Amino acid sequence: MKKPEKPEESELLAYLDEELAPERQAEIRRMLAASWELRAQLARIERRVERYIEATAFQSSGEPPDVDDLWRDFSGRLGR
Amino acid sequence: MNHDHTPTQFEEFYRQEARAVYRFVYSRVGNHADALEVVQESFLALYRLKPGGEGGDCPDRALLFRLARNRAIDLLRRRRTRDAFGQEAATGNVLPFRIAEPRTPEDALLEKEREQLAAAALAGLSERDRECLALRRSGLNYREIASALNVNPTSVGQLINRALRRFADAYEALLGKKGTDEKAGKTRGE
Repeated sequence: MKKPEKPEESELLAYLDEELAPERQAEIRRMLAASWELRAQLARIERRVERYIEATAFQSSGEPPDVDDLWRDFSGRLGR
Repeated sequence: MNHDHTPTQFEEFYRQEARAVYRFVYSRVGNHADALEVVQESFLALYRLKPGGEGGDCPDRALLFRLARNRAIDLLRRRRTRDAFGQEAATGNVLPFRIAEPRTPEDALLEKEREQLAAAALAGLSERDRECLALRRSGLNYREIASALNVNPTSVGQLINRALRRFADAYEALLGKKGTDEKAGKTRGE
């Protein structure tokens, strides 16, 4: 049986984002269960995502207005 | 949802997406008034699209983000031109990001430092990198991001991964430099 291809970093990110075909998603899940190295690589990617989210959390302090207010404003513009 | 929507469908779609697209636009333009304007203009443009018009088979969500992205780029371009002529920005808050209310003076200082580091790390990225990260953070999937940025869907994973790595590297480097500077300051007795 052919040995499954080791995923590249971007494919691991796609795995985390559940963007891969179901067969490849399952294949990588099995490879992760068998390999500490791959799991460590995945953890590094997750840390980068966390770092980005934490470091840029202040950007989301621009809390969006209430959706009812937004819609009211939009409906007004539609009527113009 | 395709373009020949009913008003009720459109309202439902609007309510579902408005806050996400606002967050994305806010991260690009940096103030409420401009973000609101871009969001509403983008929804209006989407509403007025005729079936088979701009966007082709593109799902509305991706098209909405594409419209918003293009309008944000136009706005930033106009802002740069205006600034080049030394005119004041039209709106009050032109800081890149709104700063959250601090809890204590120490927290405020730490938060401010972190924000400055993150802003510097983000500023070092390309426009494409920043957009990729902001769109993914807004909850778009790879196909939608590809459509919003008009790139090949197969390249999106690589684009996001590269942007993420560049951000993390830049942030870590700045953090390391800050630590070294602080240590040097202590040694000098500052």
